[in-house]
Amino acid sequence: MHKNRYLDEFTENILESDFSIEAVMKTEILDKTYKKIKKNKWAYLKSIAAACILLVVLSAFIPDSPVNALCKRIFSFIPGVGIVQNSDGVSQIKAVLNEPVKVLNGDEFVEIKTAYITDNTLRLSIKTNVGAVDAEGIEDPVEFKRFFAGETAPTLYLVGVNGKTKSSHSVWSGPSFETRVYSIDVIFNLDEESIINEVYKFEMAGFNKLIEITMSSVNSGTDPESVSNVAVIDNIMVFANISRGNGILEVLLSSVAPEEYNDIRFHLFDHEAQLFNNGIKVIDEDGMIYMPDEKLRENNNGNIGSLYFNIPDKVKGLKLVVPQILYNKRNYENGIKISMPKIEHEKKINKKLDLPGSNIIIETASVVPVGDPLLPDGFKEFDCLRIDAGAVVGDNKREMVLRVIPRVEVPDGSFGYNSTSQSSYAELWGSDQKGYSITSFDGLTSTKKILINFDVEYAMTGPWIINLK
Amino acid sequence: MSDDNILALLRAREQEGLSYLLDKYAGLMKYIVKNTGIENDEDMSECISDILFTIWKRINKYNQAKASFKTWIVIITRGCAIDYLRKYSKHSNVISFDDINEIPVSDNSYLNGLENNLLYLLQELSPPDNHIFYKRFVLGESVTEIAKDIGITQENVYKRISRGKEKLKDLMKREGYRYA
Repeated sequence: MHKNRYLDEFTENILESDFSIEAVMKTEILDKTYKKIKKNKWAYLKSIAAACILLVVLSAFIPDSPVNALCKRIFSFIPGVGIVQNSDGVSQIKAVLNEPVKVLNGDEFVEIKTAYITDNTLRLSIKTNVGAVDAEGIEDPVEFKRFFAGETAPTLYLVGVNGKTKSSHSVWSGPSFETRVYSIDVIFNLDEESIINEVYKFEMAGFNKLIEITMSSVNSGTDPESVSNVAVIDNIMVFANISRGNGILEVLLSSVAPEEYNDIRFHLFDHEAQLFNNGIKVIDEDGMIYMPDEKLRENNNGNIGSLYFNIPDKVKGLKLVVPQILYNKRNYENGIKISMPKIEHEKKINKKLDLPGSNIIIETASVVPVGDPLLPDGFKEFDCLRIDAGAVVGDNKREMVLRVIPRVEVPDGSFGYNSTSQSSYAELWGSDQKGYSITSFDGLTSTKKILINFDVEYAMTGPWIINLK
Repeated sequence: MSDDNILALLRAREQEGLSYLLDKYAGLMKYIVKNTGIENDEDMSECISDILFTIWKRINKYNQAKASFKTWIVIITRGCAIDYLRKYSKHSNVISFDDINEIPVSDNSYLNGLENNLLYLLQELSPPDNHIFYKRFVLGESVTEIAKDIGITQENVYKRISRGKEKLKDLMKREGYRYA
C-alpha cells in the first residue's frame, strides 16, 4: 500500500521556472512571515516571566493557597534578578542576565535588558538604533521593510575564543520612524564550553563598541515564600521591575496567574476608560498624584505593561496604585450548540457558561435583520446573530464581567464544526451585569446549526496599593 | 538551493530557509493561490505569508515517506489558499476543493487530514485521469484552462474529474474515511 507516488510524479513535472514573482512582493511576504513567527514566538515566550526587584509585598503569600501552589509548581527564583517561570514545554533556564546593559557610541546605542540560557541556547532581547539612525533611504517603505526583514539590518555576533559566531536566529521588530529604535530577539546556540561562561561579548556590525553582559546561574526550586517584591492580588501575581533616574520612574509590570486567565493587563483602552474612572497611578508621601506619561511610553517603544512617570528623583514614599486588573477567560471547548434562530424569533438558551468560577448565563439568541436600528454601523448590511447574556455576582464581588464575545462555528460538512469568518460587537456591561453581542458571519442565512464558544472579558476592581522603595 | 537543504534549514529553525523556499517556490505558490481566486497583491502576499508560516509551524510533520517536499508544499499552498479565501473573502465566485465536499478543507481538519490520510490517497489516484484531477484540485486550474492545455473538450474534462472523484471516494472507503 502507498507505494504509488503519482502525485509526486505530477508535481515533479511542474517547472518552477515557468512561474515568477516580483522581488518587492517576496520582501513583503518574508516581512509578514517573520512578524507572524515573532508573534507566535512571543506568545510562547510570554509564559516565561522575568521581573521584579524593588516592589514590596503588601499582599503576603498565604501558605497552601492556590497561588502559592501555583508558584511552587512553576517558579524558580533568581537572586538579585527576579522570578523565572519554568512551565511545561519550556526548557530549564540555567542562567539569566545579571543586570541590564546599555552601550553608547555617539548617537547609537545597544541595550540588553533580557538574556537567559536554556539548555544550549542563549536568548537575548535587544533594543537598539544601530544601522537605523543614519540609514539611507529607510523612509522608503521597501528599504524599511528590507531592514526589518533583516536583509539590511546589522548582524549581531557572539565573540568567543574561537572567533565570531553569527546569531542562529534573529527577529527584528519595532520599528519607529521617529526614533529609529527597533528590537531584536536573538538566539545563539552555545557549545558546551561556552555554556559555563559568566561573561558573554557581542559585536554588532557597524557598531564599534563591544557589548558585554554578565550572566548569573539560576537557583531553581527556591520556595516562593522567600521571594519578596511580589504583589499577590486574588489569583493574580504582579511583578514589577522599577528603574529611576533623570526625573523618570519606569515601571515594567508583568503578571502570572492560573491558566484560565488570559491577556492580563492594567492598561485601560479608550472605551474602558469611560467605564472606570481611574487608571494606574503613583502617589508620593505628600499625596501628590502622578499619572503615566503615554507620550514617553511611545517614545521609549514601551508596550502597555510599561509605565513611565515624571517624578523628581528626590521625591520619596512612592506608592503604586492599581485600581483594576483586566483579563479574559475563554470557553473554547464546551461551547453551546443551538439551531439557528429564525429572523425576529427569540430562541431561549439559558445555559450556564462552562468557565472556572463563571456565573454567566447565556440567555437567548435571535437574528436581527438587515438595517435594524439596533445594529451598529458596519453591521447594518447583514442579518446578525444577537446573543443576550447575564451574570450573577458570585463570591468574588470584585470581579465583574465587561462583556461576552461569541465565537461562532458552523458545520464543516464532515467532521463537526469549524470557525468561520465573522465580526462581533458588544458594548461594555454595566452594574446590572447584563448585555448582548452582535455577530455577523459568512453563511448565517443558510446555516442551520451553530456551535458558540465565548471570550469573556473581566475586570477585577481594587484598588491595591504597593509601596515602592 | 536543493529541497533537502531548505528542509534542513527549516528543521533547524533557521528563518533563512524560508527565504530560500520563497526564492524557489514563490512563483508556483502564486500560481496556485491565484488559481484559487486570490487576485490582488495585498491578499496574495498575505496568503503566501500564511503559507510560509504554516510550513514553518508544520515542518516537523512533513514525512518524506508520504510525499516529496514539493508535493507537500503544493498541498499546503492549496489548503492555505482555500482557508484564506474562506476566512477573508465573503463574495467570491471561486470553484475550489469545496467542489468535492467529501474532503474536509478547513483549517486543521484539512491539513491534519492531508498529513494523515488524504495525501496517501491523492498519491494513489492512478492514470489516466489523475493528471486532470490534480490540475483541477491540487493546482486549482480552471476546467477551461485544462481543456485547452490538454486538447480535449470541457465536457470530457468534467467526466474525467468525475471519474477521479469516484476513484478517490473508493480509496477513501477502503481506508475507512468518512465522507458525506
